[in-house]
Amino acid sequence: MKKNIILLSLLLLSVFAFAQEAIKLNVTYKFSYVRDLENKEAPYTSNMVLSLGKTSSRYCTEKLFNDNDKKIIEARKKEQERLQSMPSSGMTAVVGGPTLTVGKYGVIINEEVLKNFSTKKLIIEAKLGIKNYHAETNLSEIAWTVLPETKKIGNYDCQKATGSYGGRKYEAWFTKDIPYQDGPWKLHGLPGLILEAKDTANEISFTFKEISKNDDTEETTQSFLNSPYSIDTNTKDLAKARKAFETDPKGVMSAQAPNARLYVRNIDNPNDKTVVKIKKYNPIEL
Amino acid sequence: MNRLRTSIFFVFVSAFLFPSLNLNAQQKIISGIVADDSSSVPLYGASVSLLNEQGLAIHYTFTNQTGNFKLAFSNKSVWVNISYVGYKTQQVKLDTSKTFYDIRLKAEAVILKDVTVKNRPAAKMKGDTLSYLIRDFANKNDRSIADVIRNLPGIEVTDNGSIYFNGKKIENLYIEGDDVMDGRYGMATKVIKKELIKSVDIISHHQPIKVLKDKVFTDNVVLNLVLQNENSLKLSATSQLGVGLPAQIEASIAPIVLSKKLKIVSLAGYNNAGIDYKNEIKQLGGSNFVDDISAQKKDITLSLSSISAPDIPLSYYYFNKSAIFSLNTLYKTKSDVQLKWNSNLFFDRNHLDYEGETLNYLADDTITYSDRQTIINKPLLFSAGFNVMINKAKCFLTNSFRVLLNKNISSGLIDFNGNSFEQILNQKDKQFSNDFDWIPSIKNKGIAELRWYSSYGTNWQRLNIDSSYYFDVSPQSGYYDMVTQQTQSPAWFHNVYLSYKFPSEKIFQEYRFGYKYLQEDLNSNLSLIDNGVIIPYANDSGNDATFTNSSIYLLSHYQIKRQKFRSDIQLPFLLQQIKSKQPLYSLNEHKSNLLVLPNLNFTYNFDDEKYLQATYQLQNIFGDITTAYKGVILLNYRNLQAYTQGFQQQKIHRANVMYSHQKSIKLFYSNIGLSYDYTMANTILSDSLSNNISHAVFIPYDNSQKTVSVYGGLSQYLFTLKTKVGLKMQKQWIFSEQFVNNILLPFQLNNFTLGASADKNVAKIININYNANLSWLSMKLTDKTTLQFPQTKSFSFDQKFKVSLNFLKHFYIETTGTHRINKWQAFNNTGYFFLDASVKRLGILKGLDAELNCYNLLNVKDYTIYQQSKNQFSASSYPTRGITFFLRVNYSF
Repeated sequence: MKKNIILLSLLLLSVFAFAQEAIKLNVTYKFSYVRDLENKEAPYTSNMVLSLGKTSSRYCTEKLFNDNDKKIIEARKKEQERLQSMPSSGMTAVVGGPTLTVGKYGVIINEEVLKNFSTKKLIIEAKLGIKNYHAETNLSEIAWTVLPETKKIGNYDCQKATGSYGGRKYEAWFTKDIPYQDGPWKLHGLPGLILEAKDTANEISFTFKEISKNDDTEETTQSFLNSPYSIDTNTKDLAKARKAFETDPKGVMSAQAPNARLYVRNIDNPNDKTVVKIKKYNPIEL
Repeated sequence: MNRLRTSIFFVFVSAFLFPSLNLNAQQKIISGIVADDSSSVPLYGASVSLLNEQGLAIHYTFTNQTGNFKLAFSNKSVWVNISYVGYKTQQVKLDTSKTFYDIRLKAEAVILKDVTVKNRPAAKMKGDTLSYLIRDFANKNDRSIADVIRNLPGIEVTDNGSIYFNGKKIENLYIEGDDVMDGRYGMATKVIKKELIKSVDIISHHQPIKVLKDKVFTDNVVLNLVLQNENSLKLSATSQLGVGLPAQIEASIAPIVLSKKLKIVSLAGYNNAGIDYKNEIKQLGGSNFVDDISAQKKDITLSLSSISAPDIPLSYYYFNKSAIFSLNTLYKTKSDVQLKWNSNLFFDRNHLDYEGETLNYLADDTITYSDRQTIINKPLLFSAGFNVMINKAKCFLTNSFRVLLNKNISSGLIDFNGNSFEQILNQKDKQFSNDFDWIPSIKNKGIAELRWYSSYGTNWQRLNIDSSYYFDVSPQSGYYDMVTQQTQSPAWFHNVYLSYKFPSEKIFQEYRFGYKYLQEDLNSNLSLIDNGVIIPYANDSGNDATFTNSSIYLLSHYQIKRQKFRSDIQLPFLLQQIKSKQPLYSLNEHKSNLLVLPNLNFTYNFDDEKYLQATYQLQNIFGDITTAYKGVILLNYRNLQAYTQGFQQQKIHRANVMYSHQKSIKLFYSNIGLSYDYTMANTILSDSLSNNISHAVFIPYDNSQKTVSVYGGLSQYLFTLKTKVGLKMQKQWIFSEQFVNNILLPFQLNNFTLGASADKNVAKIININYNANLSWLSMKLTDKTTLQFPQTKSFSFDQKFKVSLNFLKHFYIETTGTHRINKWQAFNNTGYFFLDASVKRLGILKGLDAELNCYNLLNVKDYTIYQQSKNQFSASSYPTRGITFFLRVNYSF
């Protein structure tokens, strides 16, 4: 019996070890995105962190990255286990509440891109309003053309490549010095880490800010947003819901929480309770 | 060795399959395998690039699961570069004659030597507590803590002051962890200014009793106000002054001291502006951390009228002069013993005018009652509670003593069926109760509890009706100098139990063994006074009744949880003895029963978005003193009521099945349910009506009542219109029986309601909220009788809207409208439209705000309500406060 338990726990441990790879590097990018075609001068900007494990990675906002550390994850995991094991009546309240977080360019995009190069899976975890969604798809190959142009980004010698993804043509700069076939957002598949990328319409760009190593083995590439309450969906439906949320966040949130009062939290200006309206929505993936 | 064999095989196969490719194409292909140098494990996902002379990549690929790669190359290719995370990059010269490369990479512990290590600092643990720091969440314009709470995400405050967090009602509101208000927290949030509070904490799964911590799980959510400075004994206050047209005034002051040791929250106020102070002292949360095990004392209530209150907000028809004094203090001694005092005193003088018409359909006749009355009420309400509590890790002990005194004098001149007379009603109510609870800490896993609750209460009432009243009861019909009905009903109640809980993760068990005792007396007499002589009522000799109900009970309670399945099972066994003594009628009855009253609840979660819930409950009610008296009581000038002998018993089965389905990615939410109630009763109401009085007697007759309801709701966000729409519906069938003038009438009532709502933001400063409700009601007799009872149908349509506008930062304008149309067969169509508007100007000076309110802008002067109950239809109309303007100034220091 005892032997079985040890075996089982070993097996579980190995499964966990596979699903949660330790982070080796954290790369910070500045993300700039013309979300409103009527307001090209003031694009949406946000700092993003790409956390690289050996064969998997997580890409999320710098805020989400800074707000979550292993202790909070542990506490949350314990809480979830307790909730599942304890008797309780009725539905369980999700901690948090309908806070609509906005910035000077409108509603904040809170999305994670998780890539797994060994299973060839791409997972999107998105928080729209008060609900978390989970969409899984295949990590499709991007047909890059490598070009002989070079430039130095940070201390790294980078080479240019062009390729199409999600209906847009991107120019990317990758470095052989960092041997990850990864990059910001969903971009990947070059023989070195992509440090900079922008689309040819000049609407989307990712620029390199900094890179740091991590030797804390408890920091893994697992999702921050995924929870037992995340709702499974597909990327198509998610894109539709995301468009609705970003163009009418208050309406979508009051549909999700019909009787609750919304609270608008502006991270750029706490006294401003208004939400910047998007006149002509420009999706990242066309 | 094995690898070598596959390599040879691969070379052989490729040479055999693509000979022409190798010979003719300009591009040639290299292939190979990449593996770990020491373990020979193939590396999956390593990048293989061909570089030109300048060292730039011109072709690249990644190794597959077996570590193999295949790559076409052109003439410019000079180097083969192989890299993989955690390994030293290898670069070899491209040898065009060599088609297969066997690459071994050396593991490298340190990656990117020049990059610094930067691990993140640890953050604070949050656990079950969600903290909202006031400085982050308060608006500049917020004055009280209620203003701040209203804007907190996930928190909702309803009209009556109850606070909800994510749709779940909070159990209580604490100040620095203490239940200062004894559950009447509405007032506290309004009078405590935001500067006194540091944060609003929401604590989930709150277990206030320290002995039970980490042993008994709760689903309760509480709100805790954390003090800015827990050592400050400084007195602060908020005050309000308002004047309005026509002739209205409001003034209040709330002195407050809040520190860790001593907390005082008090309020003194006066108004004649339709503000109901009883709302401030309403019990909204639990009290002293323990659940309520008292028995609600039921009384026979005498009244001046037989109409019910209108279904519009009280402030529209409340003509009042009210005052309130409230004092709540909590003190903690050095040894952590908590002493608490809560008292409230409320005076009021209000008047209510109404006009009503009631049609009673009988077999051979329709009797009409018409009333017009002005009632003046002078209630006085005093409540006080004293609590001692020790809440330590070793033991929990609490004792509360409460007093409730209630006095009311109402009087009025009534015009009934063309006859005018004066009435006076005196009511006095006293209640004393003591509640003791002890939970010691026991070394093993279980939890024991001893609880003892006792109460005594008495209710005295006297109704006097003057000489112009025609007493329409034979053989004493006629006019008297005065008709007097008097009742007195003292009651004792005790509930003692010992319980033991076994907390476990999978199956929670609780067993409770207890004893309950209820004794109620009723003394009443109806007398007719003529020329100073008291003439007793001739048909019976009044009441001198005693009713007791004593029971020993054993309650077992289980909560079982599996992955997708949850159940809550309560199985109380009761050994009950009831006695009814009515010596005036030589009645001495008793009855013993063994009762099992299950209460079951099952939930099955198909997945996160779908669940099915089924509940079943059996109730067995044996009545109380209000259903065990034989002498007639004059409830009001036109209603007499009595019960025949025997115990009134009601057996009620309630079942409900509900399915909820949401598709939240499409923003679609729905639920559908079916409920069935079946009541078997051994007595039935028998009404005999004459021109001026209705005489109700409950007689033994086995009968049943059935209610079937189907209900459902849909909510969808319309992506194209950017609007949320909701739809709700309920269809209900009720079957019941009643004797009217000795004919048994089976009634069927059908009811269908439909509700629709829409919520839209027009621009960033305007928000529109719209609600509509449609309701169809029909009533008919299921059997043909000689009764000329028309099948009646009614329809009502309600609309509500709210438009709010926020501009110039300090100005806030809100308009609300309530519109209703009633269509009724027997009466004319009626309706009303109330429109209110308010303008707020915040922050004139530090601590000073002003607001202007206009109520009832369309100056609606009266309101009519229609009601239908079995064979009775009534229409009542009430005058409402016309247009009023109110200017209010708030100041706090």
